[in-house]
This record gives sequence, C-alpha cells and structure tokens, in this order.
Amino acid sequence: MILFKKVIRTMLEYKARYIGALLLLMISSMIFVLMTTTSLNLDKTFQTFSQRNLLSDAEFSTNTEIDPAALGREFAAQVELGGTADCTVKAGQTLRVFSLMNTVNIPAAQEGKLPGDSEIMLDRLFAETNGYKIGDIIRVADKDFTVSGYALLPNFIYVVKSKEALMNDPQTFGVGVVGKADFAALPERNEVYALRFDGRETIKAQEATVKNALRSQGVQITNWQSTAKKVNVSYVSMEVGVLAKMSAAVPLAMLALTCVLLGMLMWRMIRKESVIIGTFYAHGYRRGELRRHYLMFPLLVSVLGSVLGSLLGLLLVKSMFNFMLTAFPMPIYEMTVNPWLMVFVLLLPMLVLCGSTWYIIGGTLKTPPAVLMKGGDLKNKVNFLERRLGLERFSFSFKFQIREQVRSLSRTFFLLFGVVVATMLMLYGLTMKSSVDYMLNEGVKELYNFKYEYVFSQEKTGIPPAGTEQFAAAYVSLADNEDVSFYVTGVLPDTERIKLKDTEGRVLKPEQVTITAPLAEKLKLDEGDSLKVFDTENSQEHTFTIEKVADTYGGDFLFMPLAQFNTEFGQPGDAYMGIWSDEPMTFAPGEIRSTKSIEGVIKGFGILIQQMGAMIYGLIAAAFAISLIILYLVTGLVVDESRTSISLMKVFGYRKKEIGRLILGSNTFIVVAGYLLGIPALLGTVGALYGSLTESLQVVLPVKLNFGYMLGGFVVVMATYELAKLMCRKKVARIPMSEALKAGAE
Amino acid sequence: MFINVQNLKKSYSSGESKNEVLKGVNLTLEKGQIGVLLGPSGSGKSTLMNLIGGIDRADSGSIQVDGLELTGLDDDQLTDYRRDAVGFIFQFYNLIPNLTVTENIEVVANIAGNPLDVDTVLEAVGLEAKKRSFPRELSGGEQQRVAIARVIVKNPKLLLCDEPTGALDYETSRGVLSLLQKVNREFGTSILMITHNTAIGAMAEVVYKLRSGEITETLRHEEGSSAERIEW
Repeated sequence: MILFKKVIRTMLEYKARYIGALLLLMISSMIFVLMTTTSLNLDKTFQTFSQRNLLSDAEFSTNTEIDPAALGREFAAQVELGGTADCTVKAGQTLRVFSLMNTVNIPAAQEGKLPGDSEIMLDRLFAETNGYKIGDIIRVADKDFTVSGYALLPNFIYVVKSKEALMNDPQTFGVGVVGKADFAALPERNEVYALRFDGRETIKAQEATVKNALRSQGVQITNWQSTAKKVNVSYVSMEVGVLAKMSAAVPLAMLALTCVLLGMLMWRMIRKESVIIGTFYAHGYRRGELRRHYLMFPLLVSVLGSVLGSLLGLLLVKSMFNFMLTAFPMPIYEMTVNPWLMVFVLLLPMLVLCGSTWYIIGGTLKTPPAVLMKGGDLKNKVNFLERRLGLERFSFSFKFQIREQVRSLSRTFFLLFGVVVATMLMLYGLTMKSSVDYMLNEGVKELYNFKYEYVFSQEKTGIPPAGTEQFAAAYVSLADNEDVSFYVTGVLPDTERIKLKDTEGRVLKPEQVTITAPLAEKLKLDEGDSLKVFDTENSQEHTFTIEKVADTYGGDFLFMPLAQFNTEFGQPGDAYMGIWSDEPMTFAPGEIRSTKSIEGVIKGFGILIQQMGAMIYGLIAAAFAISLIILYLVTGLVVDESRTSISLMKVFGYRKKEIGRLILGSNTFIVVAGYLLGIPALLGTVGALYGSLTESLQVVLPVKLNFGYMLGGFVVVMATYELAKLMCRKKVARIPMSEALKAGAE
Repeated sequence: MFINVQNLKKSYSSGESKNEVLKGVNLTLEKGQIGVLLGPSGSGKSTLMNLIGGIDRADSGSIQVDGLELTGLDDDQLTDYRRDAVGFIFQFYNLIPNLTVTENIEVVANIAGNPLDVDTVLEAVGLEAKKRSFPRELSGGEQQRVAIARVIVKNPKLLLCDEPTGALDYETSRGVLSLLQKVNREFGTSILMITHNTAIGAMAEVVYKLRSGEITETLRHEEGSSAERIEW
C-alpha cells in the first residue's frame, strides 16, 4: 500500500508524461473500438439487409423475353423481372425509377410505406435536397406521383449514377420506386432480370452455369452485372474493408507510440531510482515485490487508457454509424458490440505495456544492491553512436544539438516515430484530396473534350449526327481473371474528343492500341505486351498487343481506332455504339441505353472533395493534438534531462534565447526528418490502400500529394513544434542556477 | 580595488523562519590576487561567492567588481557580467556528460566575446591527448582540469572556485592548485577560492575566515606560496 502511494505520487509529480501516455492510449482504444464496431455493424446491417430483402446475385438483360419462374426452377434460384427507367424530373435532373420487386431485391421503406398505385418512394437524400416530403406530389414522366416514403434498395445502397462517378449529386440524380403497373407505363424502360440463387456457395460458378445455359438456348445476354462488382453494392463492403484496415493500422501505431513512451519513462525512472531500489533491497524487499511495484505504472496507464478510450469509442459509435447510414442507406437493426473485442482492447495494451516494462526493469533489478545504492552502473553511459560521431568540423551549436539527439536514442526514436505518425495522419486526407483533384483535373477534364455521351441500345452504322463524333465500346474482363473488367473503346484515329498524352506530356493520337496508365499499372503491362480478354456480353475472346501507354488518369481504357475495333468485334466497318456531343440531344424512346454528362461527373468529384473537408480537418486536428502531446513530452524530457546543463549555462552567462535555441531547438532536425520520412511512408501506405480498393472502386486512383499541402503540413508541424517549445520555455526559466552549484554529478 | 564588498547582507526565508546567512560582510581583493575563503559548513562562504559571481542577489550592501556595482544590475546585465567577467570552477566539476572534452570547453568559448584557442587551452592544462574523451572516461583530476580549461578559454577577469580540490586526492589536488596558480600568474586572473582546507590558504595573498555569516579574521600575505610546496 505504501509503495502504491509512491506510484500515485510519482505519476502526479510527472503528470504531463503520464497524461500524455494515457491520452495516446485513449485515442488508440477509442479509434479501434469506434472503427471496428462501426465496421462490424455496417457489415452486419448489410448482411441482414441482403438476406432479409433478398439481394440479387446478378442482374441481367437479354434480347428476348425469358420465363423467370422456369429459369428459377431450373437453377434453384429466385428470378424476377424488374427494371429501371431514367426519367427527367427537372432540366438536368434524373430520377432512376425502379420497379417494385416482390421476390428479389425487395425495397424497404425507411419512413412511410411501400408505393401503391400512383405512388413513389424516393431516396431520402434526393427527396430532402429537392424539397419533397412524404405526401408531396412529384411529376415523373408526365405523371403525378405521391411520395409514399423514403426508399431503401438492397441492390442500390450506394446511390451513384454510374460506375465512373465516385459520388452522387442529389440535386441532379436520385432513385425512386414505383409499383409494377406504374413502371410498365414509363418510357425508356430498361428491363432487367434479378437473380438470387438458393444455394449461397459458389455464386460465381452458378452465374457461369446460367449464362452458358441461356446462350445455349440462343438467348443473347445484352448485359450481365454481377452484384459483387456493382458499385452501388460493392462500395459497402469496400467501406467495411477500409474501416477494418484503418481500425487496425492507426490504433496499432498509437499503441506502439504509447509503448515506446512508457518504456522510456520506466527506463528513466528506474535509472533515477536505482539508489531507492538498492535501499529497498537492503531493507529486505524481494525482486518480485519491486517488479510488481514498477509494473503498477503500465498497468494503471493501460487499464485507465483503454477503459476510458473504449467507453468514449462506444459513446461515439452510434453517431459514426448513423453518418455511415447517410452514405449507405440501409434499415437500422439492433446494434451489436463484440465482447471479445472489448477484452482484446483491454488486454493488448496491458500485455504490451507491462511486457515491455517487465523487460526494461528486469536488468536493473538483477543488479546487486551495493551497485544500485551507488547510483547503478548505467549512469551517464556513452552510447556507441555518441562515441563514433565525428563532429569536430561543425559549429558548437550544431554539435550540441546532435549530441542531445544521440544521447537518448529511445527518445529520438519516439519523437521521430511520433512525427511520422502525426504527419501521416495529417496528410492522409490531403493526399486523398490531391489524388481526387489530380484525377479530376489531369484525368477527367483533360481526357474528355465533350459534354455529353450517349450510348445507343443498338449499334448504328453510317454517318453520325452533325456536330457529334462516333465511338464504340465493349466491356471486357481479363481471360484469366474475371474480376478485372474495363472498356475497350474504338475511336476515330484523329479524334479531338478524347485527348491523350504520352508519358513525356506529348499529344498522343489513338492511332494504335493505346492503354491508359492506370490500367497498365493495374495489369502490369507495358508497350509490346499482349492482353487476352473476353467480351462480357458474348464471352468471345480477343487478344490485343499494347502499342502505346497514355499517361491519363481519366479511367481504365484500352483505346484503338474504330475501324480496328469493328473488325475485331465483328461489326460493319462504319458501325458505332454511341456518340459524343457538346450539346444535349433528344432521341426516340428506347433508342438510348445510357447517357453521361461530363459536367455531372465533375460535379460528383466536387461533392466528394467537399465531403472530404470534414475528414481532412478532423485528421489535421487529431494530428495536431497527437504531435503536440509528443512534441511537448519530448521537449519536456529534454529539459528535464538537461536540467544541470541548463543551470550551468545560466551560470556561464548564456541568455534565455541561446539556451532555448540549444536545448529546446535540439529536436528540430528530428521533427524535420520525421516530417520528410512521413511523406513517403504515407504515399506508400495510401498506394497500398488504393491498390486494395481498386476492384471495388472500379477506378485506379493515382497517389498524389500536392506540393502546397506538403508545405502547409510542414508549417502546421513546425507551428506545433514551436507551440510545444513555448510551453516548455517556462520550465527552462524555472530551473535555478543553484542546481548547477549543488550538482554532484561527474 | 578589484573586488570591494561592503556591509553585505543576505538572508533566506523558509516559511516563518528567516536564516541570516551573511550579516554585513566586508571584503576586498586587488586585481591579480588570489583570495581564499575559509570556514565551516553553513558559514556563508558559498552564498558570498554566489553574490560576487552574480548568481544570487543581496538583501543590502554593495558589491563592486572591477568598478561595476552588481547590486543595481538587472537579470540581463547580470547575465552579461557572468558571461564576460567571471569564470566558475565547482567541487564536482559539473562537466556536461554527453559532450567531449573539447565540446565542454566550447560550451563557454561559444559565448565568449574573444575566446582563446581551444587547442591552446587544452595544451595548457595538459589534456590535448584527451580532447575526444567523454568526462566519464577521465579521472577526477583530469575532469577538474577540463573545468579549469573551460573557464580560462574566455580569459575572465575573475575566477570563482568552490572547493576545487574537495573531491580529489592529495597529489591531484596539488596539481590542480598549481594549475590555478599558473593561470593566475600567466593571465593575471584574480581568483577567489572557497575551501575547508586551511593549508590552501598559504597560496593566497588574502585569507578570509568566515563563521556564522561574518568575517572573523583576515590574513594578508605579501606573496602566496607556490602550490607545489603546500602540504597537508
């Protein structure tokens, strides 16, 4: 009990250090619990929603009508005919109307009820953004519908118009659900069969069987969309994956920081208390009793930190989960907390921190009491690096600051590691923004020199309408990896609508088979390599030899001259699938399969960048807090360990500023080095993250970090460092000159 | 008069109790002289030295060093005074453990207005072979030589030594005292030294004996004995 009082008093005496350790551990536990529980609940909600509302495994269209019931019986599946119709509500505003399904992809009402006759359910964001409340009237395709409720669609959870768009603009795009009879009256319907297998294993193989069977019956599949690859659904699992990855990486880095910090504190305390430990031994204390005493420090920090952090995390889970549900609208089921996760959160820091302390104190406790009572044998040992440094030719200030750094390698490592982590956190959001900015400015805006893209339901031949340019496209998958899909696009060799450039920035005309850089990166291909793909619509295989690589991040494309495309895909020489235009155009009902507005895509990017703002500022604030804690603690440690030197310098006539520069400024090299190391570490990490997301994201994001952001991040880190120095300046001022006079060291 | 201390008083308060450490001390020392302060623990020697060194402030009285009145100086002026005019040597050397011998000397050379060459100073104290060593790797006598080198590198007017041989054996102590005497004679540096050892008083021109904050006796010698000849 007496020894426990010593623990508490020591902690209170050095409260900043222990509070710092506690805060780092709290943040670590909080992030872990928050992200893991959110990810767990998001996944559980998605699974429950998919099961209860029977999410389809695939959606497909055919050139002839098929009997859903017969197909279902043949392949042990539920099949239902539904579809979508893109209707214009206002100018420039598209509402994708879904047919109300009863057996597969059954919608749920988040509020209100499922639609009856002349009723429509809207997605909440679209309804709220455009001022539609339940009971209001909305005119869709020249017919008035009453808003019956807010729709939740299992096959359209992430509301986004197409796989090229990253984010939706609810002012220009939304979804609605109407009854089957109302749907049948809509123009430009795209009829789609939804298919869900009864057997929940080997979905891919079952899909292949159905496709082959249909083709053998002479049915042409005009479109096949596996749900696993549909962005409106796959983004949910991607988010679950990102959260799971982040929930492991960030807290582990913080736990490692806490571990190094506590290890350092314990090491210093043991060194400082060697006389006390020797005296305890002399009085008959056993090694085990002293070990227990010193383990009390990490035990208290780990238990307090992880319990408080976990509680805070649990408190915030609901808000974060609700925020996630605004991006991925799904029904709210009962939230769960994994009890084993809580045990893990409590045990891991305890084991790691107590384990490292056990190791650190072990050596000292083995030292004989007589040696300990003389101050131990560790006092002022010169480490190998200090001994080997050849600093003769440098100025005294430089030498002194370097010596301060190498004096305590663990302290320097802690500072370096801490600044690296803080830099990564701070620049993480900004890197994502830079990447999206780059993709938008150097990719989308550079690549497309048109405003509208119209894809026809059937190929056309001849000369396209005036002012437009024709193209053809086939959605293909790799022959040896069906999960990797992209467009092969046939364009006019001298096209001005698609702007490509080579790696040196020179204009590149798609007169040869040209692959875009992100796709080449993804497939690890270079000029001269060949590529085997199959057409997802008819499974025919094609082999292409890459002749050029275009340095554009506008998307994953393989461009080739239109004539070559037509020959390869067995089309007439003057055939085309779609047209590009600068003006909006109107077509006969059923003539158009899809339209794309580049402005809409750009707007989507804009919204994504805007929504990133909160995350970016949040991360900067978190990084600021963490770096302030680390920098304050390390600067404080430097001051504490240099008390005699500071006092001596005062006696010698050093001015406050000179002492500040030498002692407080000694960490400048490490802070700068930590920042500089943090950037490649971050870019590598983000690259790996993007790589793992490529499949679900359908686009390859380039890893970019704007120089301005790098500079801004540096300013923030240095400002934090200056603040930490300012906070420690008082500490330096309080050190009396008498300390040097009383010093009995060396 | 190089040092002229008049009616110097200093007390320390601790709660309600007040401890009068110096009770009106008068002391003088001519330029280039060696003065020794002798007295038991608690007699006020260190306090007197701290006040003359500009480390502490007096309650009343006057301290003049080379014509500069210290009692009226503010903190910055006192810092300048310590920086330019005074050098300190401590009983436990107070070297910075993670700096080499050369770097420990540079701590002072770095802020001195017109420092001597570090290598010349190291040669003068006989430590040129140890310039890259760390304090821990030196004997007590060698460490005190480094401390002396650290002070003379800025060529101060006044050297204040607090028990400079207090932690050394007889032979080493004589070596250190000889070195101090050499500094005094070669550079004309005035030295004021605290010691318990009455024998050391023989090398001084003036010996002040302190007891309970007062100077009880002043002994003046025409010329101090050579440190080599002092025995105890």
